Amino acid sequence: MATDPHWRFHQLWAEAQPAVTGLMRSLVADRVAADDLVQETALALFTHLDRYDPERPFVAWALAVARNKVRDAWRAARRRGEATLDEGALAALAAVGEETVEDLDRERRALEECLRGVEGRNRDLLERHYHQGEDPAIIAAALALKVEHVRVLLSRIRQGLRACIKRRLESPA
Amino acid sequence: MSDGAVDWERFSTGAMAADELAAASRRLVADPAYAAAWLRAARFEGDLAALVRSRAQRAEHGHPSVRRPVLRRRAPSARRRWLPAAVLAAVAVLALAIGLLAWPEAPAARVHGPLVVSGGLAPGARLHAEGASAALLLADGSRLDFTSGATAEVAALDAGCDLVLGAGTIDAVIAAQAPGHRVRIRTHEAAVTVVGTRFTVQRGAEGTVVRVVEGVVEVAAAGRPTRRLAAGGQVAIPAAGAWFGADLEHLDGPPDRPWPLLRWAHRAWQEEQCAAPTATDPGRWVLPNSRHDLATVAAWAQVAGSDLWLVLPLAWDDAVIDRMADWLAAHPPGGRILVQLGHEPWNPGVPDGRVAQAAADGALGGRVAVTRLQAALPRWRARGLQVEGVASLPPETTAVLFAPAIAGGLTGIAHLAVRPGPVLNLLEVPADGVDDVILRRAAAADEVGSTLAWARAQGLDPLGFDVEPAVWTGAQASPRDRERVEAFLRGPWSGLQRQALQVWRSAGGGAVTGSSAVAP
Repeated sequence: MATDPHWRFHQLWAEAQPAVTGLMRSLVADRVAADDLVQETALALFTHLDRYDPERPFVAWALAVARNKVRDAWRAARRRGEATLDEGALAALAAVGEETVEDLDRERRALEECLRGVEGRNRDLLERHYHQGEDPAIIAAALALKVEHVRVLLSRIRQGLRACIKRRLESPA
Repeated sequence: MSDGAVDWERFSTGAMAADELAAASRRLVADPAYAAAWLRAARFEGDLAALVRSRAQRAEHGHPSVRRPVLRRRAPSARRRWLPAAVLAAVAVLALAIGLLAWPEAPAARVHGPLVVSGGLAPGARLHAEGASAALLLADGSRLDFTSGATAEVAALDAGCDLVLGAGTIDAVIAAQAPGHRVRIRTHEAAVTVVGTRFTVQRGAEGTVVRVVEGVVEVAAAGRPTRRLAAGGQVAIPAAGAWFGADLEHLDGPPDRPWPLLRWAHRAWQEEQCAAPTATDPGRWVLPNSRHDLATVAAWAQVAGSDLWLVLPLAWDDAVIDRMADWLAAHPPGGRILVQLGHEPWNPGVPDGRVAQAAADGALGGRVAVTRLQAALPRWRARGLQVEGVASLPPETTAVLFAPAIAGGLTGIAHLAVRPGPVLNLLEVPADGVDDVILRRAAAADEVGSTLAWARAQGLDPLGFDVEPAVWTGAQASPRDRERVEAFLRGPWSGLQRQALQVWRSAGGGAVTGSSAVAP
């Protein structure tokens, strides 16, 4: 099975995907468009897996392919008259992304742990917003709250999670 | 929050004007700390969304770490099996008469076993079965058995009984009701009104399934005409938001856009998961990696007008397989039955080094599986079942592996996209052995369109869109597999499946789903 290209890709991509997704989210404002670009990146990586040099980190190769996908998407956006970040920002964020893969992975694992402590109304709010895709206005209508109140609640949950991540990362293992 | 994080939040809402984007770009280049904070904020939001979504999906699909109560109907007791309905009716009439004439203050109902009632047993009371043998006994002799964990609310207890089932299963034996009396069990999707019968109402995350054993019930669902269901009948009413909900517009007739295929699949590899089922009633059999028993899946197929796709463990012997055939003959689902025998050895859950062995030993596509299936099909057809043998052909699989299946005349079903990787090159599909296609895990809307176009160019009628987001966290995966796959599921797939499915349907494609993934 180790020689099965699909299986091999599966293993490599599982490790690289968070970094690629993070980079896309940092460069492309629209979440759906960012997700699409992640998919296109995955497809390109799989299609050209035979070009991958296993002596080099797969994540670096994946981020390089992701940058190309973003460039293509930005060109199309500009042709439609839409403003984007520029090439310098793309290079800067890609570089940071590559340098901080391990840091960001630790933060992600900490976030996963912190989320286990979110229950009750806060969990419901997070699920409505991130899983059901409801925006604050819809949530507010469903829960008979003011829209601004929902925004504040979500913001506080995020702040709490960030603080939790910080504590976890600073505490000795 | 740092400037970088604040600015990314504005960026992510699309609120930045062109000059602000230019300024942000300059600062991202010049200030590494700003760039790091920007990227970290993007990662946090993306990870938060993915983790919340993953956790919610696992809860919906019964992941052990976040599992919601598993709802199962228990077998009826021997007493209820043998107690004639006429005796029940007589008891009911007698109890009613006694209740009216002698004890006007007698309670309309009482609880039995570990059925916990919040407050008194009156309208508004909440019922919770904290163990087996919990039941509500009505004064007329009717008995409503609650499965452990089942919850309900009492809406009315005069002139019969009106319950709202929140979760779980109520197994009911209802005495003949006096004029003006009725027993009604409602769920979010349906209301079942009883005249005097024996039936089951099962409520799960995907919706409600009603099965009638004796007598007649009326089933009403929002926006649909009331339907009378006779003994032997069963009906499924999907929950709002269920994947297939939009397709089941017509409870009483074939949907406008019937699902051509309903798949009951499993991918278990471990022998213990493929052991012969022990339940006496094949309708209660739950195949590995499925959350639903055969009766439930057959009910969905019947209502949806779908074909039924059964993937049976190769480890089952012919007698077990034929018992399933007997059950299906007695409860015909309506459409075709597509039978697949054996594991799918290409799945990631197969241990390293076992793929070749699986193929050689007779896993799907192997000679043993094909031979056994060819021998089984006439036996199923002799029971009047419209059955086809199936081999499923993921595009990365070599033609050699499937040569026996193709030569054996099985229906080949190509998976045009493979989990949990990207959509593969459609040209890799071994078209010579393909009779039908399904689309699995499309990456994006564009891929859906090209898939349909490819299928039609091959003269194929696309069977459906297979959506099974939870399968890969199933028990067949090793802990290492599961970790990787869960990481993958936190990715973009889940968010895009809805979009892809919409495009697929709007282009004329059908839908297919595994029983482990009938909810969004």
